[in-house]
This record gives sequence, C-alpha cells and structure tokens, in this order.
Amino acid sequence: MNRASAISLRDLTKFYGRQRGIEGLSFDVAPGEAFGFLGPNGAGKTTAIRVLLGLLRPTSGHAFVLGADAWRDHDVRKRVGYLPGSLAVYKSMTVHAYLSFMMRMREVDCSLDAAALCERLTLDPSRRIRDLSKGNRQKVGVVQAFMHSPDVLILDEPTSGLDPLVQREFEEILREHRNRGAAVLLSSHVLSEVEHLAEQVAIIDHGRLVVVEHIHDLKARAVRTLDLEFDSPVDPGILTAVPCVTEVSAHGTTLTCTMTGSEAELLRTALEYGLVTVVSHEPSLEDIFLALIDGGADNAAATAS
Amino acid sequence: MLLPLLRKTWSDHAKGIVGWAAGTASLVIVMLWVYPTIASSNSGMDQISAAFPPELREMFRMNDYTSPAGYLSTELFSFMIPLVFVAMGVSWGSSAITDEEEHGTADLLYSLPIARWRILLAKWFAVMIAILTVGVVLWAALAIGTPLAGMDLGLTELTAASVGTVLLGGVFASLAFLFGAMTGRKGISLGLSIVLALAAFLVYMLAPLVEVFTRIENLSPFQWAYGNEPLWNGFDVPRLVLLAVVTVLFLAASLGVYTRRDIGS
Repeated sequence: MNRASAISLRDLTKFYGRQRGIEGLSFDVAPGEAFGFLGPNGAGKTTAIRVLLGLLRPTSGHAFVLGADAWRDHDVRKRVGYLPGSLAVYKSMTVHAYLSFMMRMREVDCSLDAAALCERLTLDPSRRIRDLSKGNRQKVGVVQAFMHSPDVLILDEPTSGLDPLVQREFEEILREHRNRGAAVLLSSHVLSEVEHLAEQVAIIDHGRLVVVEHIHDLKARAVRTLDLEFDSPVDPGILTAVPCVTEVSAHGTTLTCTMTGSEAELLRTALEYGLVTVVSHEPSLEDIFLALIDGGADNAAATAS
Repeated sequence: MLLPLLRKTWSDHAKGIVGWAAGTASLVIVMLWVYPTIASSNSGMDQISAAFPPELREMFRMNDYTSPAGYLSTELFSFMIPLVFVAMGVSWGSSAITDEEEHGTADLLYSLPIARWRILLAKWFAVMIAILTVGVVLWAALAIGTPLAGMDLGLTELTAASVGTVLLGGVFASLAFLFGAMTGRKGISLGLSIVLALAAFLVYMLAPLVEVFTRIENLSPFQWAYGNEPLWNGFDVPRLVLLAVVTVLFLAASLGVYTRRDIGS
C-alpha cells in the first residue's frame, strides 16, 4: 500500500448476488488530487465506493482510506465525506434538522460551514426534505458531504439532478476543497462531468479496470469527429493524407473528419485551404471505450497492473 | 450511547407509542369499567362460566372468573394484552433495521464514523424503551383502575403481570430485530416473527388440552411470562430472567450478524 495515498484500492474484489461486483481493482488517489471514476451504469463504480465506506465487505483484496482498512476502521470516516449515488435522507426532517443530526452523529459542530454551503447552493435550510425537488435533495447530500471539510471526498454521481448553475457552484466548491488538500473520488457515467475537475481517471467496465490514465491522454486516444467549414467547397482528398485522420466526408463547404491523436497537423493543412470554423464533437465515454478496446487493450493492461 | 439516534428513533415512533399506549389504556379501562356489573352476584356470570366446557375454561384461564384476578387474567392477560404487546414489539423490532435499508438511508447512516454495533444497540434500546413506555402505561392503568373498579388486587401481582407482558413484547421485538439484522427485509422479518409468535401462543393456549403441547409448553415465551399466573402468585423470577436473557441473546446474535454483513442498498 502506498503510504501517501488518501485512497488506495489493492486488487479489490467484491462479488455479491449472481453477477454484479468488481474484480481486481487497483488504483490510488493522492491528497489534493481529484480522481475521476468512470464507467457505464452497472459497471461496479458504486460497489467499489460502498466498499470504501465500509458498507460492503471485500471478497478479497483491500480498500484503504487514509491508510486505514475501510472495512475494519470506522474511525477514519471522521475524515471522509460521502455522497451516495442513490441519495436517501430522512424525509420527515427539515434540512436544518437533518444537517444538525448528522453533525451530532459525527460529534462535530460545523454549522457555520453548513450554512455557508446552503447559501452558496441556494438551499433553504428551513424546508422539509419531503417537500424538496430531486435537485434540492441532492444539494442536501452535497452539504452533508462537504460541511465538515473532510480530507477525503467520495462522491458517487454527485451532479445528478443539479441544474447547470448549481453544478458550476458545486464544481467551484469541489475545487476549493481539492486545493486545500482533500482527495476527491468522483464517479460518473459521463466523461464531460468529470473532465473539468479530474486530472486522472480510472475507467471500469463489467467490474474490471480498463485503464487508469491522465484525462488528456485519454481524450487524445479517443476517436472523435471534427466539422471543418471552408470558405468554398474543397476536395476531401486534401485531408485523407494527414496522419491521425481515419475518415473524411464532404457536405457542401464542410468536411467531417474522424480522427485520433493530435489535431495540430490537421488544422495546419486545413488552414492552407481556407478554413473558416471548426466544430469539435467531444468524444463520449462510449467512443473512448471503443478506442480502448480497439487499440489500447495491451496498453490498458500494462497501466492497470 | 448514541443519544441523537435514540432521540430520532423515538420521535419517529412518537405517534406509534402514543397510539399503542392509548389502545392499551382504553382496553384496560373498558374491561375494568364493566367489571362491577359482572362481579355482582346477580349477574349470573359465575353460572355461565361454570357452564363452559372445562377445556374452554382452561384455554382462557377461566378459573374463578368473577374474582378480580380471574377476571383480569381471562379478559386481559389470556389473549388481548399479550397479543397487543407482541404485535407492537414485532412491528417495531422488524422495522428498526430494515426501514433504513429499504429506504436507502442506511448508506449515509452506516458510513458515519460510528461502529455498526453502536448504531444497532441504540436502535435496539429505542425499541425496548418504547415497549417499556407502553408497559408503564399498562401498569399505571391497572394500578389506578383496579381500586376504582372495586378490585382488591395486590400491586405486586399487577406489577408482575405487567413486567411479564413487557418482557414478552421485548423478546419478540428482539427476535424480529434479529431477523431484520439477518435479512435486511422488513417483510421477511415481520412474517417470520409473526409465525413464531403465533406458534408460541398456540402452544401456550392449547397446552392444557393437547398433550403434545403440554410437553413443549415450557418452550413458549408466553408460558414464561404467564405460566405461574402472576395475578395470583406474583413474580416468577427465574422465568422472567429467562425472558430477559433470551431477549439479550437475540440482540447479541443481531450484533454478530450485522457487523459482518453487507449493507443493502
């Protein structure tokens, strides 16, 4: 186990039920690092996270939080903030009563921080949770996860249900906590949700780690499409010769290219032919999966081990 | 002791506690209300009860029906009061753990920096204290009501019957708690506990009539609570202790099971 890691999975395996579970997961999250944990729904993200919170007992392998075994050591969770994927809070309570309850259970008083978080997220603490919309309930989950300024934040699909403005504020809050040194594990099934926040990402599929990589490298490897608009119709042939480009098609003055890797060469060539605008279609997680499965399998295995 | 959790559990149960307590009190009051009529010599109740087949009289513990102890033992403690406490105990015991798991609130609760056994212990105590509260109401209704109804009953005997009732509710609550800890499913816990409670009740009820049941009646918690006829004979300390010990054993088993298993989501 890496002593410096805030979160450390070592060959973590958890089977339950018939098929769901995770197998042989290993990765590390350092203090002050935001780490994206990506995979399609049902890939096992939530299972791994719930092992980290001591809710599930590993079948084999280990999950360490701040150096402590997640299953055995409940005390370490004083320094952990957790936002569950399917958040459920006591509906009969008001937001204020719920947050106070959580503080008393944690034996900390962080009511000022909680109040500040509520204000930033525009959450009215006097409202009864039962009467809140899904988005506002999610805010309650966010506040209780951050209010005690934990050293480790484990957030399972944190932005689900939040509107874009609140989402931006949430990202800001998350960055502040990361900058003060908190380790953040951020799970999502969409890449765009974590790409502004996380430096490193792990991708899992069917319970197994596909890759752990820097997000830029990951995106560079993905197949994506670019729409290049020219001032006059051009011959698609001018771009097929460019390295990294795999496919080109023409629609009027626009060329649509499918490509991987760096865009520099492509743009340099296109400019010579009167390029006007570029629209880049961000690769979806699915595209990245495909790219990984296509060419990156060996590489992924090397990274994962 | 996890006071915030205890307080929360009670406030969740507040309506239930008031409801069960009011039900218990009204049951006692109504039965005490009609007692003077039944006891008066010209009511003929003695002859009626004497005309009952002896089997039925034994089943409903109808010995000396018009005496205060006989009347209360038949009308309240042979059937109504024990079943009220068992139903209440099973309902609270089965939901204590499972509600949080089925509603998904367990995730945040058990991810707190608190050992699971402490959370469980707090939940168990909350249930037991709620049952005890209703038990105190039962005891108070009897202690205040019997002299008013002109019944000459010792406080010791009334207390013994009330304590037995509370412990009976407690043992089945603890059993339901254990099933909840094992399965995390309210329906299963409720169902299993009800079946076992009814079986125990039938054994106790029919023991005077069915020979097989007579042999196993000492396995029934109902027998432990009421076997010595507390309204006549007061406390049967060993058997009440047995009830308490079994209640605590179910708790210990719950802790053992729950600290090892996965929390459902």
